Amino acid sequence: MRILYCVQRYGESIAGGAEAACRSVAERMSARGHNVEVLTTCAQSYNDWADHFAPGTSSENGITVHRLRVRAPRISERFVPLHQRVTVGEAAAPAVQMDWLRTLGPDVPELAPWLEEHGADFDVIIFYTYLYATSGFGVKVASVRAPTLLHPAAHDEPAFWLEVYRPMLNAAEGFSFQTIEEMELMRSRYGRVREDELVGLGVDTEILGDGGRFRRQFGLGEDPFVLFLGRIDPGKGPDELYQFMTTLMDHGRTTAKLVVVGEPIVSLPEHPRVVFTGFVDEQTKHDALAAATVFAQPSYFESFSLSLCEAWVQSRPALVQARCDVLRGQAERSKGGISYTGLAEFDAALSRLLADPQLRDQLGAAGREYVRANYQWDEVLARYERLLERVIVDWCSRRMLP
Amino acid sequence: MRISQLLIGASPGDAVTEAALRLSDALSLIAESEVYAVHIHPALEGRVTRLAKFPLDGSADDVLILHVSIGEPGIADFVANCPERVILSYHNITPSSFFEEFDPAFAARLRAGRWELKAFADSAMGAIADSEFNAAELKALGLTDIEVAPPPLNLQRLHDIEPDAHFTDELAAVEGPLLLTVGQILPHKRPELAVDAHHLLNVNYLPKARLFIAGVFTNPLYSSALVRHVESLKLSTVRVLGAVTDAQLSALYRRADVLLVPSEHEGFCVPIIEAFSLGVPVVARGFGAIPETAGAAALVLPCSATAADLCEAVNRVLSDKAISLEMTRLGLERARLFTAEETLHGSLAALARVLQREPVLAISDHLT
Amino acid sequence: MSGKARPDDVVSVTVTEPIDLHQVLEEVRVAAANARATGVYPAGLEESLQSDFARQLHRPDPRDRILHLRKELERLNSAAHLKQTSAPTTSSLPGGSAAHKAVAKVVGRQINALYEQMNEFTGELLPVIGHVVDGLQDPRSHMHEDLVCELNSMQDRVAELQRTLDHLDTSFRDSASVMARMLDHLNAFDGLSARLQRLEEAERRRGFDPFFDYGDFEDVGRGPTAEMVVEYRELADGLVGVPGPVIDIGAGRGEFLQLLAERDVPSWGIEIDEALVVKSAGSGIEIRLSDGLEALRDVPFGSLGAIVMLHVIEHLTPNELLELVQLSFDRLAPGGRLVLETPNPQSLYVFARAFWLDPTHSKPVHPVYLEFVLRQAGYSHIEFDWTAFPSEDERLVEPLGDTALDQVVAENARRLNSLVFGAQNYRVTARR
Repeated sequence: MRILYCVQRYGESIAGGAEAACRSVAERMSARGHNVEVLTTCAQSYNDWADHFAPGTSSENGITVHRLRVRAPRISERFVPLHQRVTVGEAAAPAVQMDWLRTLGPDVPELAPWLEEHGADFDVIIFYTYLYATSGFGVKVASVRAPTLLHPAAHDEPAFWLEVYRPMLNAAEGFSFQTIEEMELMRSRYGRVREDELVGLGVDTEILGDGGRFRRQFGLGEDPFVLFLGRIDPGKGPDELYQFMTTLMDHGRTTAKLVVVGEPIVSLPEHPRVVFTGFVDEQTKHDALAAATVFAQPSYFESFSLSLCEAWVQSRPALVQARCDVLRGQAERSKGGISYTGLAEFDAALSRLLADPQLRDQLGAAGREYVRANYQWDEVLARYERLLERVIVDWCSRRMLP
Repeated sequence: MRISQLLIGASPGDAVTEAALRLSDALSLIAESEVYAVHIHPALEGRVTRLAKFPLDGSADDVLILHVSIGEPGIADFVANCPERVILSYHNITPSSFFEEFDPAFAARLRAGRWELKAFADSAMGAIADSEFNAAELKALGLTDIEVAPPPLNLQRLHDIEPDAHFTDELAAVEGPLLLTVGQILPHKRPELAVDAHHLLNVNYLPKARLFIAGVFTNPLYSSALVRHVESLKLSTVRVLGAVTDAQLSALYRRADVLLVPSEHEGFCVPIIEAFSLGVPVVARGFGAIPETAGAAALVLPCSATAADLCEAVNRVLSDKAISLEMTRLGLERARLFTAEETLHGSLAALARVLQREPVLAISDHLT
Repeated sequence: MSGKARPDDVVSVTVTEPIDLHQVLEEVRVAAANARATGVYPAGLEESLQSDFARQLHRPDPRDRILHLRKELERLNSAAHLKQTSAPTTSSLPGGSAAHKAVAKVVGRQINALYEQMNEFTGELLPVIGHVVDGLQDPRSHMHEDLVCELNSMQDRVAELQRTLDHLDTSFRDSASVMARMLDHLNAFDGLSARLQRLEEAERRRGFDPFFDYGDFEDVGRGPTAEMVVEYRELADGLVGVPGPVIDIGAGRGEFLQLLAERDVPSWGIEIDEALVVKSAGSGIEIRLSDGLEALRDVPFGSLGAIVMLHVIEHLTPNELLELVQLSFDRLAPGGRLVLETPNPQSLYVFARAFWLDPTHSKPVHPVYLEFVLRQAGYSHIEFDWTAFPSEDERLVEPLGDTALDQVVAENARRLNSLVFGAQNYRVTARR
C-alpha cells in the first residue's frame, strides 16, 4: 500500500508521545514493504511550531519526508486569551472556534494545496491526533482525494467536545484507537466506531533490562523502591506520587524509596529517600524498570501508557491511578496492577505489594502475558493492515472503483 | 414675523434636534423663533413646543423650516395647508430596507417618509441639505438649486466640559490600544461589524486592544442582539456602553486611539468631526456622506470593505505612529472648518440664499 | 499610558517622508488581499461571524418585549393626563375666539365629565398594565407561549390607546388623498393577480396529471406482485426486532407491508396516491393517505424502529430529500434504522432500461452524495448493498484466451461491464 502519514511534528529528536508513535509505526510499516511517506512541518517545538528543520523533501531512516513551513510561529499572547474563550465556560460561536483551531496551529497555508495536489497518489492518508490544525483542517481536504484514517489519541478534555472538529470526524473513513476506553469515548461523542478500529500500540517484548546494573549505577543496593518514569510536569501526576511517598516515608509507614527517572520540567524538592536520576538513555530506562520493586503510574491523563506496558514486559507489578479510565482499564484487564484513588488506597496497596513477593511476581507475570497477547508488534501491525484494507475498500466501493 | 422650525421627534443627543436648537437660538435674535415637534422627549419639555400649539395666525410673511428625517402621519397635509413659506431641511431618511426584517412598523414609517418627501418637495419654496449626498436625493425628486451646508454643530461642548473623572480613570487603566464607535445602535450603523473587526484584530494582531461602543439603545431588539453577539463570541475586550453623557463621551474621545465608523448610511456623520476636533484618527467605509464629511483627513475604505478589511486598516493605523500622527494633524485642520461659528454662519447664509429667491420684507437682510 | 497622539505631539514631530493616505489605503488593500490568500481569514469565517449576529437578531428575548412595553407605558403615562384646560379655544375666525370660549363655558361641565371619565379609565388601565409588566419581569414567572401571545396583543392595545390619545388632539383631514392612494394600490393589485394566475398555470404544466390510470402503466413497467415479494424477504427478515414500529413511505400496493405483517413486525404505510390506497383496503394492512414529509412531521420524536423508503427518493427534489433525512433522524428511536432503496446512477444500464421509463422520476441519487448527507445528519453504521445486477447474458463476454489480443479484449470488456452493467439498484441502511 502507498501510505501517507500526516502529523504535526516528525523526527528522531521529537519526544512527544503521539509523534514518536507515528514515527515508529511509519518505519515499521515501511519495513513490512509498504510505500510510506510523511507530510509534516519544520517544527521542533509544539509551543510555537517555529520552523527548525529545513523545508522540502528529504529522506529520514529510509522514509520520504515532506516538510512544509509554518505561516508564522504561534504567539502565546494572542493564543492564550483565545484559548480561554473557547475552552472555559459556555461554547463560543463557531467562528471563534475556527480562529482558535488555526491559532492553536500548526498554521500551514501550504497543507491544503499539497493534499489537493498529491493526495490521490496514495491509497490511504493517515492522520495523528485529533487536536491540532493539521488534522482539524487537513482530514476534510484529504478525504476528497483518498480514504483517510485518524488516530485520535483522545482524552476526555474540553477541547475534545468542540463542534469545530465535527467536519473532521465526518470526513474520516475510519479511526484507530489505542484502548477500548478511547474507543468508548469516541463512541459517546460521535457514534460511528467499528470493532476493527481497536488496534492498540506495539510494544517491544524482547527487551531485557538489567536491574542489577541500574542498582549499582545509582547506589540503590538491595533496597526496595517504587519507580516513576517520565516527564516531570504537573499534568503527569508525579507531584501527587511524590506527596504520597514522602508522607508515608516521613510517618514511617514504608521503608521503600522513590526513584524518579526522567527530565525535570518542574523540580521537586530534595528528600533523603528520593532519588532523581535526570534524563537517561533507552537501555538504562529498561534497566530501571527491571530493577524496580513496584512500578507506579500516577498520571491523570494517559491514552495508553507505553511505560506501563514496558514495566510489564519486565514482569514488574504496577500501581496505577484509578482516576484515569485508561490506566484503570489496563490494570483490570491485565490483572497486572492495582489501581488506587487517594492516599489511603495507595498506602494499603503499596504495603501489600511490598510485603508479598509472590503477589508481586504473580502480577508481573500476568502483566507480561497481557502485553504479549495484545501488543506484540507483528500482531498489532497485522490488525492495522486489515483495518487499512477495510477502510480503502469501503471508500472505493462507494465509488464503485475496482 | 416668525421663523418656526418643525421636527418630527425631539430628543436629547439627536443630531437633528441639536441642529434645530442651535439655529433657533441664532434666529431668535432677529425674529420670533420657536421649535415645534410631534414627539417630545420629557427632558426637552421646556425648549420644544408641541405641534398642537402651532399658531394658527401665520401668513406668507412667515417661514417654517421643516426638518425631515422620518415620516409621520398627518405632517404632509399640515405642511401642504399651512400658509407659511416652507423650507425643507433635509437630514436624510434612512432607507427602510435596513429595518424590513425585524421592525416592519418602523420600516413602514420610513417608507412613508420617502413617499411624503415628494409632497414636501412640492410644497417647499427651497431646500437645504447637510451634504451633497443628501442633496442628490432631493435632486432625484426634481428639486433644483439645493443649498448644501453642514448642520450647526457644537463641538466646543466636548472641549469645555469636564471629562467624567471616574470614567477617565477607568479608561486610563486600559493597557492596550482603544477603539471607539459612536452612534445610535441601529442596523444602518452596522455596529456588529465593528465587533467582528475587533474580534479579528484581537485574534490576529493586537490581543490587548479594547473596543468601546457608545450609543443610545434606540432599538431594543437590535441592541440586545448586539450584546448577545458579543457574548456569543465571548469577547471580553468589547464593551457596549449604551447612552453616554457628554462628559463620558469627552473622556472616551480623549483616550481613543481610533474612531471606527462601519456605518452603511449617513447623511452627515457628526462623530467624525467630533473625533477630528479631539485628535482621534478615523477609519470609515465610504458610504453616504462620509467621504464628503471626512474629506482627505480619514482613512476611507471602499464600500465593499468587510470586517477583515477594517481590521487590517485599524491595525495599520495603530501600529504606525507616523500615520496616526499625520491623521491627527489632518483631522484637527479639517475640524476648524466645522466650528460652531463656521457651521452656524454657513447654515444661516444658506437660509438667506433660499429666502432671497422670493424676497418678501427684509428677512434676508436680517440674516446676513 | 496609551500610544495615542496628543494634539501637542503633532507640532514636535518632524516627519521625514510625507504620508499619503491614499497610498496607505492601497497598502492596506494589498495587506488584506495577502492575508486572505494565505488563510488568515479563511473562506466562511466572516460569513460565520455575520450569521452568528443574524441568529441573535432572530432569536428575540422575551426581556426585550418587556423593556419595550415599559417604555411605551412610560410614554403613555406622561401623555394620559387629559385636562380641559389644554384643549384649544382660539380660532382664526374673527370673533371666533370669543365665541369659542363662550361655548366652552356652556358645555364645560359635559366636557369635564368626559375628561374625568377618560382619566378614570386610563388611570385604572395603566396600573393594571404596569402590574402585568412587573409580573412578567419577575424571573420566577414562567413564560408560556400563550403568555407571550398575550404580551403581543397587550402591546398592540397599548399602541392603539396611544394612537387614540394622539388623534384626540388633531382634527380629521381630507380623505381624498387617502382614496387616491387606495386606488393606486388596487390597480397594482390587479396587475399582481394577473401575474399570480400566470404563475399558477406554469406550475400546473410542470406537474404530472395523466388522463389514464397510472396504476395500469406501473403494471407494464415492473414485474407482477409475486416477483416483488421474493426480493424483499431478506430485508423484512432484517427488520425483525427493531426498537419500534416500522413505516413504509411510498407503500404502493403494500407488498412490503405484507412481508412485515407475516413476520409480526408492527408497521403501517404512507402513500400519496389515493387510487393505490383504495386498492389496498381490506387486505389486512394499514396504509394511510398522506404526503410522506407531512406524515413524518406528525410522528413523535424517537418513536420509530425503522423507516423504509423503496424507490421513493428518486422522485424527490434535492431539498425534499434533505428534509426527509433530517426528519427521519429525529423520529427514529436510538438504534432505529433508515432504509433507502433507489436506482444506482453509476450503472449506465439503469438509464437505458428502467430509470427514464417512469415519467415521475426526478433525479437519481448518487450513493456518495447520499452517504455524505446521512453522515452530516448524524447517522452511523452506514452500509451499502448493491442489488439487481443485469443478467449474465446481457453483459459483454470476457474471452479467456491467452493471446495478447484476447487479454486486451478481455480487459476492455471488463471495464465496460463494470461501467455499464453495474447493479441497477442500491440499498443503504443507516442507524441512528
